[in-house]
Amino acid sequence: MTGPTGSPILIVDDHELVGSALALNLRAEGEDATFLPVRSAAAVLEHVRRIPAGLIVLDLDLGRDGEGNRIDGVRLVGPLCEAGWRVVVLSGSSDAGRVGAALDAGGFVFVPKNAPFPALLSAIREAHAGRSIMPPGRREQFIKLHRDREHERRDLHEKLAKLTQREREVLALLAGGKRAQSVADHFVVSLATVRTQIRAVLTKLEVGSQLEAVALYRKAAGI
Amino acid sequence: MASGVLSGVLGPQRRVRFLAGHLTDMLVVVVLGALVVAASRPAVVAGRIDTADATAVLTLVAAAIGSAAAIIALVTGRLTGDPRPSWFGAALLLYGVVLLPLSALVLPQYPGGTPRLAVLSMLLVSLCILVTALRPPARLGAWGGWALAGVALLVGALVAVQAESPFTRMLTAGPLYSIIVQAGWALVAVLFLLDGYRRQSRIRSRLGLGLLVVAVSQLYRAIVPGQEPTIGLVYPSLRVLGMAVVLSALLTVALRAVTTLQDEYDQLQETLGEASALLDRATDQAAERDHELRNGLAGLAGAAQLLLARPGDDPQVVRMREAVLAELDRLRRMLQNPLAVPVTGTDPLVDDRDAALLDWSPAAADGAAGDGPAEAEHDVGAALRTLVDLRDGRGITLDTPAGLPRVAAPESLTRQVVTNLLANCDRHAPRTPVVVRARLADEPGLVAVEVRDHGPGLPGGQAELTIARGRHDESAGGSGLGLHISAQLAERHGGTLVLRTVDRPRGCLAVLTLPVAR
Repeated sequence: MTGPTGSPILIVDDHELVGSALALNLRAEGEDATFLPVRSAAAVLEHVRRIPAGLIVLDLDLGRDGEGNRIDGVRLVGPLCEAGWRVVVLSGSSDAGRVGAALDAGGFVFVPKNAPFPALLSAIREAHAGRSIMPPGRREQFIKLHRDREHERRDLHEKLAKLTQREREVLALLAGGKRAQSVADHFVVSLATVRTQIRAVLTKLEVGSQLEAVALYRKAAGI
Repeated sequence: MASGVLSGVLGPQRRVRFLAGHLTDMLVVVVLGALVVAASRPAVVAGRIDTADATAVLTLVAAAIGSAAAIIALVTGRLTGDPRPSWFGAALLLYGVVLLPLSALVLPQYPGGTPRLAVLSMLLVSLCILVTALRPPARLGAWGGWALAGVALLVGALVAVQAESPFTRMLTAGPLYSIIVQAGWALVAVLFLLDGYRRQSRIRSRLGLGLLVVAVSQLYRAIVPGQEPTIGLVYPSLRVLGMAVVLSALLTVALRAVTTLQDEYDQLQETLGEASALLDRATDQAAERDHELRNGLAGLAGAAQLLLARPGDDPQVVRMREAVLAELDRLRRMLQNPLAVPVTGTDPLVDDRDAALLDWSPAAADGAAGDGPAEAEHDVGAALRTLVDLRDGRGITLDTPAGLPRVAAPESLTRQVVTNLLANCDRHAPRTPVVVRARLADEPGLVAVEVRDHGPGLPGGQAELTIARGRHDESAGGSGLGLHISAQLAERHGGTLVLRTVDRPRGCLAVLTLPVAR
């Protein structure tokens, strides 16, 4: 990783006030900081390849692009690191798994968005100088959490793969908030048939109740 | 009217369905009975099977089936909360476990009259229980049948120890014993059948059919002359069939009960699912909102930071800038530390590791020069000054003596509670003068912060208010949650929050006390 003091600091955030306030404050301290508003993931990567590498402060949730798709900061971390940038992961999200994923992809340090503003600035300055303000072991904890979650997700998908087409459809309808009776109406079968299918789903997913099955499905589907 | 038409259509339909079902049952039972009689008649059995042994085995089988039926009846009674199966089960168990083995296996070896009388009396009681099972008195509940079964055993034992009498001799010699047994069984079977017809219940009619087969098996004994062991195996075989029919009827009832329960459980699950989906949606919305608030606050804090104090600035402006920063900091903390929700048990679907990892650790914060180590204590006067400065146009009088000791609580606490109290003043006593005052409390070791308005005082003219969750004055809007959380925060740091109605002039006085720092 490179990033000696004096190299540029790029701030990538979909919230203009946050981004420009950070950039202005850092500039007031004499750093070469710029705020880059986000249009799309590709635009960010294109921009960073055109300028010399330095420190990038990357928000994980970058809003939506022109077509309404979520721009995921986590996916930018790997390419940014490859391009030689040092990545400060900034996030106001309450999902530590995503932070772990960003750190796992090569992120240098994580700073929560709800940190006091001076702390935010000082964390960025420290990162610029090559020092991480995260307590020892914290980074590993984040990455472990992320990998545990990935593992759980894989297990879950394996279990879901055991379901038949119809069972998956039934579960999807239940997860969408339908009652067993309306699922039966939907497929033009008897309520008892649907109940039997639900019980088969419970057995295959190794859960004790419809509630858990639906929760698992939602988790896997990311609803 | 609609229901009248409906029952007019459904009534005959139901009757036809019942009749068809019952006729099927009857046909099956008759065919089975014919097969059993054909297979076990003396002509087939004689010389091939030891009838004495086979009778014993068949009797035990009938007893076992009867006991199984009794247990199922008992379980069904518990599942449905209906006392009838329980009564029926008591009678069946008495018959299957005690009376059948006694009358078929023991009596033939004791030709005396007293044992017969004992068995007969027990049988009569158990038949009585069966008849009562049709409509058990609510007063006796589900266990009345069992009590009567106990009484039957007691009566049997008492009779068995009596000496022989002319009556008992008559039982041994004549057909009286057989007549009483047959009449009793036939009566019970017919009563059950009639009950089934009256209610048009296929199950009840099937129970009646089973009992009828048992009754017929008793009848066989009397009309076929000769000693009992020489009549082939028709008598014990029919009894097995009768018990099996009874068992099948009870099994159907049990299955139906289980299905109903399962349906109820499934519906409950669905309702729970809907509730949890709602909760999830609310949680997601809250998370989304928190996320946006964090972004907004971070941006505002960053922007405010830029409004650097320059030499020559109006001190009022400088104070205002600090007040804005402090206020933003308070809001930031609110998002950072939501009041801890106690988590009971470990739900595999709820992971609390996120919050632990994401929380800005004090170690990191210290290192980053955010909140100093003096976090745990602060100067109340300064905190109140910034708060009052923020509300410049509100007309708040601030009264803080110099030299007030620092208090042992984070500044955010004072700011949070006083902000709440001032918001309360705005709601309940809008546009009246407000006085914010800090002083040494009457009790040593405490500092008191008073917020006094000139409004109507506490609702309902109360003198003092104990702050409980959700208490609020409905006419003025707002939820009492703010006050409740304020009181909790104060208590956590060894302080108190009390609201009082005061006079001259009338108003509400809120007193926050906090311990002095050592």
